[in-house]
Amino acid sequence: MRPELDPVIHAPTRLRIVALLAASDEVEFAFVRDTLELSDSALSKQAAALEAAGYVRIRKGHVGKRPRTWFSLTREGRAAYESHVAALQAIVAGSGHSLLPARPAG
Amino acid sequence: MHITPDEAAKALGEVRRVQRTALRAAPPMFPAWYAVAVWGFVLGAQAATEVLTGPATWVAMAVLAIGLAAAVIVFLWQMYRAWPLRPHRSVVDPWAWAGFAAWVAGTTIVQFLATLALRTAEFAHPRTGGTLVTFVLVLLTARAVPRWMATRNVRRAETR
Repeated sequence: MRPELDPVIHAPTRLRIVALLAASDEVEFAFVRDTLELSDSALSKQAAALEAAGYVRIRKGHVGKRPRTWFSLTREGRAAYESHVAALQAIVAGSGHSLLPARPAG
Repeated sequence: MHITPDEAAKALGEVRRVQRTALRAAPPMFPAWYAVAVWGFVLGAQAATEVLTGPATWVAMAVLAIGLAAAVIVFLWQMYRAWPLRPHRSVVDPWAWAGFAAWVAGTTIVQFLATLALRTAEFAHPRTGGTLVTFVLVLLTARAVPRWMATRNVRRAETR
């Protein structure tokens, strides 16, 4: 099946969130916020949209007495991310661009 | 939905950058302090049974056992409750864990050989001396091992 771009995770901020979640089993809210340099409200809004699409699972709990929130990709979310990345790679490969990351000289 | 190859390349570059940053910023897969704590316990146990005698041995062993139990509880709490990011298996390089296992096995071999050498040299407390050598080795290398493991994971994420 030909991979397709996913409109839900195509938006840059959502793609960055999903890319981070794809590299992990579960990530704590503050780690996502700080790594992606987002505000609390921006992250909450995007996470809620991804949860509504069925791509992200949000778990609330406590570490000691402090409330914490963790995010993880659902199976559907991971499949959508992998398909989206495969579609991006196909577009780039089709144009003859290189997929290798640029490395500094020396 | 249509995007240009340049936009696609830029999006892929951003995906790689985010994953690289996250995996480098993530806490180590194995906390260095725990390896030091375990070898600290082994060192204490060797000294308690080789250097100390009588009730002092039992008191020292009880204190060490309580210390080790506390370290295990903190370790499990950190790993399963307080860790902000656990890498997904798709970005975990199996060679990172193989290297970690080799490091653990290597430190055990060093302890055995150091103890043997000290015993041959008729050192008064060879087990304690051999374990002290190993403890210093673990102390010097314990932080580098998880850092190396994280670097391997970053490379794996970049080449997927």
